[in-house]
Amino acid sequence: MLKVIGIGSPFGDDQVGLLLIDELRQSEQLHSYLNSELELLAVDRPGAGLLSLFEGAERVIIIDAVVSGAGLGQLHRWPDSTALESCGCFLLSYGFGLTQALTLGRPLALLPAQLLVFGVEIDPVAAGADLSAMLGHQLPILIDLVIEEILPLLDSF
Amino acid sequence: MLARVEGEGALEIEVRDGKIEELKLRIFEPPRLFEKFLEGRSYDEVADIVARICGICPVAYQMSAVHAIEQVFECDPGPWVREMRRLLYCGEWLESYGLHVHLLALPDYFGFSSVAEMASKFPDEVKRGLALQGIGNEIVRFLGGRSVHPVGVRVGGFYKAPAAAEAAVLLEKVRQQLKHAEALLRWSAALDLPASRQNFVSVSTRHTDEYPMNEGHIVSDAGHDLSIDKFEAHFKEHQAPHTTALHCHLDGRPYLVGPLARLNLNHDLLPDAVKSLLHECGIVMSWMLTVASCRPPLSRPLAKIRPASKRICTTSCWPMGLRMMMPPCVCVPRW
Repeated sequence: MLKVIGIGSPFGDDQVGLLLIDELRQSEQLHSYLNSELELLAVDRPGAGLLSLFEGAERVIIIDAVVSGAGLGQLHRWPDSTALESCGCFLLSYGFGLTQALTLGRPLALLPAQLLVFGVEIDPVAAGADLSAMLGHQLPILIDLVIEEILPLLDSF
Repeated sequence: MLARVEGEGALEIEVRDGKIEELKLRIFEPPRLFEKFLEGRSYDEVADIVARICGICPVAYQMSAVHAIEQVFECDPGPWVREMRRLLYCGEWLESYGLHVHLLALPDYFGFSSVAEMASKFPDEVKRGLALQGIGNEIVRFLGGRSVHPVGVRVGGFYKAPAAAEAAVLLEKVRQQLKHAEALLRWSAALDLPASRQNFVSVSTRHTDEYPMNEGHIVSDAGHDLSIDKFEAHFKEHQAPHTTALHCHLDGRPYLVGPLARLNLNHDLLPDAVKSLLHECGIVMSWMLTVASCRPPLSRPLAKIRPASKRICTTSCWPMGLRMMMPPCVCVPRW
């Protein structure tokens, strides 16, 4: 089983992880894999609860927002959780975010066998119900990039 | 700088000759101004707005708001709503205290830099804490629609009643977690905690026949037994110059609220099974409140346990909408 987990909050650019999951659900390329080899989850700031979502999945892809100073909409890619530890670009609630959850998961042996993390560069001050216009324009490109990563993983099962 | 408080804060301690001369807890996040957000809003918007005060304890604010409005309307939503609100509150206590104990307090107590470091030595205990926090989140989601900033509460009840089948599934999950709650109490009671004898006044609500959550009088172990409408006559908030968090005194004295104060004042109302477990664990509650009696303040502690919570929640809570960058800290507001 491959789980793709989008993380975010409901407003502004921080919802990009949630919106990408919505878009992946509509993808014809992924349709035949859903409910058997592929599960898509959109979660609102799960904190340490993220670890419980890994249950039953050998492979997990996570998509979350980042603010690193790179260009808006840039897709960052980390092939495992160790590579993330020195990265301070993920967003936090109460000082706890994706990096902290994954760091906690290692000693608890709760991480999946294979983990891939995508970070989407967002505008941290974009407020309101929608994505910022620039990130909105990038969304179709991001969807294609993520699907390109998902398909080989699914076909290798 | 305090890293693991609910909000941003710093602690200044001045020690001379081994004695603390001055201690200031500075909460320096900006004032939230929720009172101003609420001005001009309809009564039915209030529950959703105040849920944003805190990402960890939103139910407390929702319950206070809807009960106040229902009091104005002289509206009684009935026994089912009352019971479900208690359930919702239990969910919040489970997730909030589960998080506080395992992710915030215990790493500090054991001297670990983080819960991840603590997890290397206490993996089963940390997993148990995450499971208890998780079931709390599920209960809040069950009635609130989502676990972060729930939206199910309204004046008069809930927007949607959960399905009975969903309730049955949740009930089974809760039953499975009882063993974890019991194990946590046994484990905590066996910790080698230093004796802490402090003289403080406990304040909580008190109900005639149940452990208090949403209803009752305001009582203290300094002899107070006040109806809710007497709150403003006895509790006075003031601004301390070193912090953005308002301070509050009861008849001119500082006091403690929260789980320990509630337990100190209401342990006789705990379910029998919990009382037995406390007894088994050697936790002795040495005093019982007699409501409406006026007595001189007693020496503390009442419970021979370390305070389980040092939360400052009234004004230092963060909305989960504030996801932070660190370091340096840059607020990323999401409303």
